[in-house]
Amino acid sequence: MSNFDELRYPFGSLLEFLRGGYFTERAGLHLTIALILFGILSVHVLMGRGPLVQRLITLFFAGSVYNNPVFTIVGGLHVNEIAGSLAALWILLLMLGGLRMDVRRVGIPLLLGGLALFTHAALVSAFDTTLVPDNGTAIMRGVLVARIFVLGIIAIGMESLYRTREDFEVLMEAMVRFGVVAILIYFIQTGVFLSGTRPYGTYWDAGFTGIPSFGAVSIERGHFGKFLILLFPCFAWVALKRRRWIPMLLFCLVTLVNFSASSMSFLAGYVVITGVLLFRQVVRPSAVKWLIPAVAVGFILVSRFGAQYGGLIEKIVSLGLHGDEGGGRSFSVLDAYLTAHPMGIGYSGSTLRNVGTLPQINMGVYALASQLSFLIIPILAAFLWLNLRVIRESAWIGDRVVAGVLVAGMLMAVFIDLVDVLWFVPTIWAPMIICSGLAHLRRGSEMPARADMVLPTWHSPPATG
Amino acid sequence: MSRDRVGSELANGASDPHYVTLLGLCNDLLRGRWTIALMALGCGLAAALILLVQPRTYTARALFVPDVVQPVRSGSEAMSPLSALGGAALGAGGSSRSTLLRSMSVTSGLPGNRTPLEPLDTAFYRILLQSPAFVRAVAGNRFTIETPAGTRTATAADIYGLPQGPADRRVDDAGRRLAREIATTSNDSSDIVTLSVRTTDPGFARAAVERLLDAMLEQNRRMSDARGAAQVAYLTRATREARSELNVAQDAFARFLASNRTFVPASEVALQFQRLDADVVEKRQQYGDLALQLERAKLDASRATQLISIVARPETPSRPDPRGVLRTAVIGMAGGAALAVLIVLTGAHLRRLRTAGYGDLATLDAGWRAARRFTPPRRRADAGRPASVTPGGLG
Repeated sequence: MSNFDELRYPFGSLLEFLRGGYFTERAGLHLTIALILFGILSVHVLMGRGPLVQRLITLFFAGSVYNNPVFTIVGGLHVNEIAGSLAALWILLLMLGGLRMDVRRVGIPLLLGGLALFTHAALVSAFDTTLVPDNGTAIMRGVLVARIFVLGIIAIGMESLYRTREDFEVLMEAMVRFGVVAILIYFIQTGVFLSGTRPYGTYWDAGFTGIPSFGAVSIERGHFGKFLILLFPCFAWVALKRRRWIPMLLFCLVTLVNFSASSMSFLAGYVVITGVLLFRQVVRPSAVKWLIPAVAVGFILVSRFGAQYGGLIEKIVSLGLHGDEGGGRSFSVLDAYLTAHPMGIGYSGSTLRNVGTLPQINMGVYALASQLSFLIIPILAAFLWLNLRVIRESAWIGDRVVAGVLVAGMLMAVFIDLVDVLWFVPTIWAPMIICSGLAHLRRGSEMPARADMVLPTWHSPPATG
Repeated sequence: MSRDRVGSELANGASDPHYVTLLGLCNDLLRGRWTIALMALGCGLAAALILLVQPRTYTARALFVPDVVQPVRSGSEAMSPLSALGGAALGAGGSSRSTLLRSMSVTSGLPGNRTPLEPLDTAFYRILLQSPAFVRAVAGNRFTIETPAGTRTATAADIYGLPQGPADRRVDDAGRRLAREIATTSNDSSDIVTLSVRTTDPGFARAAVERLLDAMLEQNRRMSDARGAAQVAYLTRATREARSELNVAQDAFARFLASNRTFVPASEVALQFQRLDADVVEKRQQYGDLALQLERAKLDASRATQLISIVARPETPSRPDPRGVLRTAVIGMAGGAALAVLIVLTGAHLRRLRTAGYGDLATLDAGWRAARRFTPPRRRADAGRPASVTPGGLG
């Protein structure tokens, strides 16, 4: 294993995957199966309930983990991004037709944030021409900001079009279903590897664990872990509300064997926060029957991969806590960026976050600070304020379990955004949008027009007249 | 939002100022069209003007590929003079049976052991070019550049026109500036690295790229030397130890032979003879292997070297880089327009809230007005006190 090489993808899009005949190879077997299953799931979603725009939105969120090159259709856009763009255009048309937007919800603040980031990026680029050396970079920066607008418009659409609790439940169900298929593809890829063929998207461990892991339906193993872990609130919802624990067990298992330091630490965060918020709902006598297999699986994993987990802990400590230079998480990296570009480099998402010969920057808050400079203060404050407001509104959902998993998702989103560059992933915003939507649904249906009404706090049952 | 408003707002959603439509926002933008147009035009013009007053830049580029020189193995090298002196030749001084005792694994784990040298990753060179110490060292050199007035030799600080001061500080400043002007890109499929320097002097751009390439070659040579020196030092020590062990074994064998001039092949003495003979052969073999490794390490120190193969050498750019005035102006206009849109929409929404008598905003307005009317306590005290005559006023 010591001379193991990473095997990436010799194709860059679905067309190349098909034209090159990679789908006939054993190394591409998992991707072929993934394509078929993704197609079936997409058709199932697109032929499901609700208006078409709602189904496109479902595909946009549920397909975010499917960012492997085989899901790239045209112009570097993945299937879910195309669905999201179409949904955004559709909603724009609806808005032209008179769709009303509530400025106090999530969508308008997202759009305003996007506009502020666009303004800053444009002005900074105009006065520091080294940031946009060519038209391609300028267009790419525009596209990166446009993704925020797409998300904002979709959030606005959801605020208006999702009128029942079932609408949101269908969305979360679909996210779980797509996630489970992604996990199964991971295990199929593992099977292909164990059979002696090195499948496309096999990755080495960055020197920390000593065994390979896989990209599955994502472009890279880290992407798979990070994009999948953001679905935790939906998996927890399915487990706690629908009593379907198998998806949750698969979810935890794949996170534990994927050996991605980020996703494992995020999983720990999700579990702790959800456990704290829903202590009474989770810790019950009936949960013991699940505790035994969980402990057994944990024991087997630790006894089999103890050294690997030790390596991961070493990685988390050295890169995450000590801020090694190699991890791009030290303050000196931010200092280098701000010294070279005191006004920031403008919003660059994850794609253009590294500039010229400046070192790689990976710490979420540092990357944001290097991009926004002084603007990070109002943007971060607005983000926290928005979170706080939605968390307060979550009491209106009237279901502690649903509210709990969504609030855990929002709290973890703050943490994840601070430590990793994942703020561009739609699913990290999903708990906030869903939570706000569910709260307003019930608030709209149960709110009496009474002036003496008292707003509930999160820990008390909502006042219903 | 005040609690008593929640119900009424939901009840009166139609007239709620918090609800907006896209057409309503478009109307707001149309009302503020002159603000938007003026800000867009102003920012676009400002960006273009700033770009036009800046000096033209010139970019020199070089393309290179990470490469390596592998040491050549020949038959003669396998038996070096030193190893021959040590008696590494098969069968020399020992029985052929005992030579089978040797094991190549004795030296297989030594640092001098051969594995094919791989070229360094392109990321290494990109990180090297990011290193402040490396760039500072390059900036500290003197550059010879061709100018219309003739050949000029100057430091980077002189070429940049940095103010006089301590030499270290000037070099540091020049290094920082040079670091900002360096750009590297690499192609994953071909491993070709493009190194470019974009600066205001075309001659300096070329000279800087040349010097950076030289510095990278020098860095590679230093790394190879250091690695070779470490190998040689290790093997020299190991060879010395092996030599002394061989001497001890040979002395013991000689003593044995001296005290047992007549021995019977089947006796205990004969067995001891064979054991000592095997010991000498084994020690000699180890010594021979180490000596061979040492010779190879000494040769490889000058042979196995990481290098860069220059695909395209830098040339003095004949014309300045395109300014991209149009692109910059368009980006500036977009930025100005976006800023104006933010201002116009925020203003329009605040107006809507004021018109609707939104409670929180009214409170905020009242607070703001009170803050503007605020008089510091000292001034308030001064205003209440009767006017006094200054001491100087009487004289």
